[in-house]
Order: sequence, then C-alpha cells, then structure tokens
Amino acid sequence: MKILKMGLFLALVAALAGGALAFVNNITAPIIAENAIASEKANLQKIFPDASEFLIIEDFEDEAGLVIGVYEAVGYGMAYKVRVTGYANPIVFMLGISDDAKIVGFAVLELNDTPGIGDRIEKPEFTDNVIGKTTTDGIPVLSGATVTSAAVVKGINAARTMFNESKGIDDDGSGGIITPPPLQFGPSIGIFSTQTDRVSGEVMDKTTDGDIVTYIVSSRGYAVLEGGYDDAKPNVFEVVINRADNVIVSVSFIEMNDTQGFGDKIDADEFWEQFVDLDITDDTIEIDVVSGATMTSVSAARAVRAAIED
Amino acid sequence: MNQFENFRKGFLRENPAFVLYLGLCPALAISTTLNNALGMGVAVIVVLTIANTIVSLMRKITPMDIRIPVYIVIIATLVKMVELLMHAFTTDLYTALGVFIPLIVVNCIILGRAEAFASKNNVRDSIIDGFGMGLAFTWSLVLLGSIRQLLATGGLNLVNPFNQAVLFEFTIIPSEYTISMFNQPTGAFITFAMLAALFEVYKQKRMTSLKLKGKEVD
Amino acid sequence: MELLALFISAVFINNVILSRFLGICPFMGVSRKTSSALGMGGAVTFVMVGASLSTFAIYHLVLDKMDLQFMDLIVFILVIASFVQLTELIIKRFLPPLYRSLGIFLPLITTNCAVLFVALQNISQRFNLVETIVFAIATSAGFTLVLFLFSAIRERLDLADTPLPFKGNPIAMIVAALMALAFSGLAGLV
Repeated sequence: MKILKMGLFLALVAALAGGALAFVNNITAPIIAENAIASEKANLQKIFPDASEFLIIEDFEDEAGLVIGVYEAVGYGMAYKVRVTGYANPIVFMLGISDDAKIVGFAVLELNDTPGIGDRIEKPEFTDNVIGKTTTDGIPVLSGATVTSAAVVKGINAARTMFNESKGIDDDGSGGIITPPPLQFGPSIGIFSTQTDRVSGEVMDKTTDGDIVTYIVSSRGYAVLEGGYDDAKPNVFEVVINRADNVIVSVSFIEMNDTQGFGDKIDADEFWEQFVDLDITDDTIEIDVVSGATMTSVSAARAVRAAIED
Repeated sequence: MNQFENFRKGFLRENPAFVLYLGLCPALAISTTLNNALGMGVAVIVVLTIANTIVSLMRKITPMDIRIPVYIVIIATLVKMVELLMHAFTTDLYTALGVFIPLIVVNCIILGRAEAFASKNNVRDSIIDGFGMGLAFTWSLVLLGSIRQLLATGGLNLVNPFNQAVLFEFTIIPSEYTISMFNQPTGAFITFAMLAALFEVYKQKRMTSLKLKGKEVD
Repeated sequence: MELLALFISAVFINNVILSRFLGICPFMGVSRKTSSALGMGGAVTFVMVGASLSTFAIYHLVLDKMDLQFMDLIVFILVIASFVQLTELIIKRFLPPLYRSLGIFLPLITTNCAVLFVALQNISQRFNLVETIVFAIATSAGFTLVLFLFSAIRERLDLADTPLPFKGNPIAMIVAALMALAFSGLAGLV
C-alpha cells in the first residue's frame, strides 16, 4: 500500500512537471525554429525569391551522407543544402526543387577549388544544365573540371533522390551523370620543336626534393597570344621532373587562363598521361594536341620544355 | 543558524567548488571565458533558487522514501525549462554552454542543497540558501573563468546574451605573452588546483587566527 | 572502420574525464586505491551501458514517436537513477566488500555527469544502436582507465611530501593536469 502511495505521488509530480514543461516548450519551440531558419534564410531566399515562409525539416536520412540540410519553402518546393568534396576542398551548395519536381535553383555557398577550373560550376556552362532539369534527368559533367563537377552532380543526385523518395516519384535510374565523350586528339608536336622555340615558358618557382624537382611554369597560351582578351593571362603548369632518371614524372594545371570550355579540354588524364615517363634527354619526344585546344596544348609543351631546360 | 553566516560561508570557507569539490564538471569545462562562466552561474542560481523553493514548499507532503526521485524530477524539469528558454532567447550562450546546460541536473550542489537544507527549512530561508549557494558557485566559476580567459587570450569581455551587445571588452596582456594552455583541460586543472590551494591557505590561516583568539572554529 | 575511430576517440582523445571534465566527483573521491577504482569503473560501465540502452530505446520508441522530446531530461535521469538502484542491489548482494568500499559513491553514480552525458550524446549525435553500445562501452572504458591510472599514482602521492596547501585534492588536480597533457598528445591518432 505504501509503495502504491509513493508511486502515485511520484507519478503525480512527474505529470505536473511534464505539464509545466510542455507549456514552456510550446512557447519556446517556435522561437527556436525561427532562429534556426534565420541563419539559413538568406541562402534559401536566393533559391526561392518569391517564397516567404520556410521550415526546417529536422528528420532526414541521406544514405550518401551528402545532404546536410533540408528545408521546405512553403508553397514552392524543397531546398537541400549539400556538401561534397571537390578536387581538394569541400563544396557547399543549395539546390532548390519545385513542387512539380523541377530544379529551380542552384547556389554555390562555399567553394575553394582551383580557380579557372573548379569555379566553372558556378558559371552558366554548368548551371544551365542543372536548372530546369527534372528530378530524374541526367546532368553532364564538365570536361576539364571533371572531378569537381562530378562531385557536385553526385550531390545533386543525392538531393534529388531524397526529393523523389519523399514525393513518391519513381526514379528509373536513367538520369545520373552523363560522362563527356572521349578526348579527340589532333596532330602531334615535339616538345623541342620550332613551335616551342618561338615562344617559351617561364619557370616561376622550383622546389627540389632529392632527385625530384617540381617546377611552376608560366606559359602563354591562346588567351595571350591570339585571343586578345582584356586581361589575358598565361597558363600556369606544374611540371615534375626526376633529374636522376631524366624523366618527366607528371604535368598538371595550376591555373588555366585560356577560354573556358576550350582550353580546359586538355585537363584530362588522357592528355597529361602523354607526358609521364618521357625521356628528357631525347629531343624527339612529342605529344598529341587536343583538337579544339591546340594552342593550350602547345602552351603545356612549352612549359615542359622550359622546365627541362632550366 | 544565522542566515547571513550561512550565506557568507559559501564564498570562502565552504566554497562549493574549491573547498567542497562539488559541481566540478561544469566548473572546469565551462570556465574558458568570463561570459560562459557568468551564463552558467546565472542558470545555476535560477535552478537552485526555484528548486529550493519548490522542495521547501512540498517538504511536508513529500514521502520520505521517495524524496530523492521527486527532487530529481523537480530539478530536471527546471533545468529543461532553462534549457529551452536559453535556446530560444540566448542562442549564442546556449551553443557555447552546450551539453552542460542539461548536465546542471546532475550538479551535486543542487540535489545536495535540496536534500540538506530545503527539505528541512521554511521557504524564506530556503530561497536565501539557494540564492546564496548559487551566488557562491557563480563566484567560483567567474574566478576560474576570468583567470583562464585572461591568461589564455590576454583580455576579458562580456556580452549581453540576449542581443549580443558588447558590455565591456579589454585586453591587458599582449598576444605574444598569452598562454593558450589555459584554454585546454590541462590549464583548467592547474588553475583549479592553484585556487583550491589558495582557499586551503585561507582556511588554515583563519583557523589558526580563530584558535589564537580563543574562538570556536566552525 | 568508423566504429573503431569512435571507440579510440572516446577512450583516448576525447577522454570523458581528462578532456570533457565529466565524472570528476568520483574521480577525486574514489581514486585512492586501485581496487576501489576498478570496482567503481566496473559499476559505472554497467550503469552506463544499461542506461544508454534503456534511454535509447525509450527515446526512439516512445518520446520521439509521441513528439515528447522535451521530456528527455526527466525520463533519462529517472532511468539512470533506477539503474543505479538496481546496480546497488546487485553489488550489495553479490559483492559485499565492493559495496562497503564504494560507500556513498555508489548511489552518487546517479549524479555522475558522464552517464547522463553519454545518454544525451547518443541522441544528439543521432547514433544507431551499435554506435550507442560502442560509445557507452568506450566511454566507460576510458573512465575506468583514467580512474585506475590515477589511483595508482595517488597511492604513491599520499606518501609523498606535498606542500601543506596542496595536500589531498589540489595536488591530485595537478596530477590530473599532467595526465590531461599526456592524453592530449594522442590527438593525432585518428
């Protein structure tokens, strides 16, 4: 009997306590939600400029682990905050999908990738292929910024999958990532040829680690020599040479300053691979230029020559 | 027992943190800045005072055997309310204090005072006791926090938690001489140990001087 | 091997006592003899794992479903208190010497910040069942480890010639400071 009395007493206290707590909770919960939304509101407004009410969706599950925030633009659609890893650094973007399953907004919030390459995902050449797409269409990656754009597309797809699941839209998997067609090569040029004679690259920096020497070389390409752009700049390459074995270890872009969509075509494995293991003492070594990006390809060759001859 | 004496004891002789070693978890963790220390201290004062009030009000009707769980429920409810209110109205402070706000529930000081004092005394005395103990604890946190912040960052600052307006801000140690170790656990333990030793010195001195005067030591 | 990373970080890098300052009261009080330290560690492990599982279940099956998340603190602490009562009864029955040596500190496990902390973290970090178990075991293992090391040092410390103001607890805090410094060196492990 005593235990029953005690149990009842405790239960009564707990019930009263719970009631009082529920009261406080009712008062504070909307304020808390409002505060949380406020920090994201600016970004959400970019995606849905006409929407006035936003809600945070707390419970969401993303298998890919890329979606870090889900918001509802009441009456307009859903917004997803996604974080992916690009070439080197995280990229955070907001994707807006309207209630009729179309992508209506894409805003990059954080981006720290290679300038001239990674930031192409902010430009129309990428965004035009994102906005307007449905939640099941394919989205092409950018050639020359493959790693970054593929990561972003993966993130977009993660958000789209969540949207489809929540709305019950069937995704037959016909969408996804559209990979670019393979690289077309043109004629070959020698590293030590006349083309690389006339204009030469300039070694800007050099670090030595035993036998391995890493050169940062600036080399004028299309933009400077023919494009006539206002603030044309040379391309910058990283050339790594093994001076003991006299071979090229690797060549890659530091800065691509030629025409977007053209010069960056050479930023592909099939192009850079040509340089690997070339014997620098052999003056007949040559590489194939990428068709449609000849001058940029030659600027790479010039950079390599400048590094070799340094 | 003289209420005023009781009130005074908490600050030096029976300081809850440095002499009685109660409520250490938040004391060490939260005391990285003066702002956080003050924020936590005020939260504890609120919970302690109200908890003492309620426990004292209910002391005649609470069954003996079940009193501890009852006190726990009361304290937990108050802490959760404080947590929700802080989340809504003082969001930055809420984020800074983090998990230590709900952990006020297990702050030995609160349960200790409820059991040792509020359950046996009238409401007026319990309110004063709760407020006094809370103030003493806040004073300990502020001491720890100010020293750590001063040594680790060279200055102190205080911000209005409701609207982030800066109340005061100053730097007196140039940044080349700051010791960032005081931001770390190691610095927390060391500062605490030093202060605890100082309090011990004070206690010993007081005891000897009281004995010399022929007075009773309490 | 994310579970392994979770385990190692909970035991060494974010050690519950030396890095998060939780569970300090028993740390200062019980750690004078290695045998009682291990006993306390065992009791805390039992309570922590049991309470974590219970609170996890109650939260996900009841509170969350009924939109009563704000009741979590009350419910959790009551569950922990009950578990500690249960542990007390078990130890009193089966290990009376341990019961005597732990004394008041056994019921005080209820106010051990570490136990409530783990219960709350399991929810706020959105752990699944397996991660909850791993986190609870790892945290209590880290707690026991530090308690044990500390008690071994304190056995010697009590015989050392400590300056008067530091005797007892203050010098123990200094030792804790050095241990925290040592453990912080493990930060690069994961």
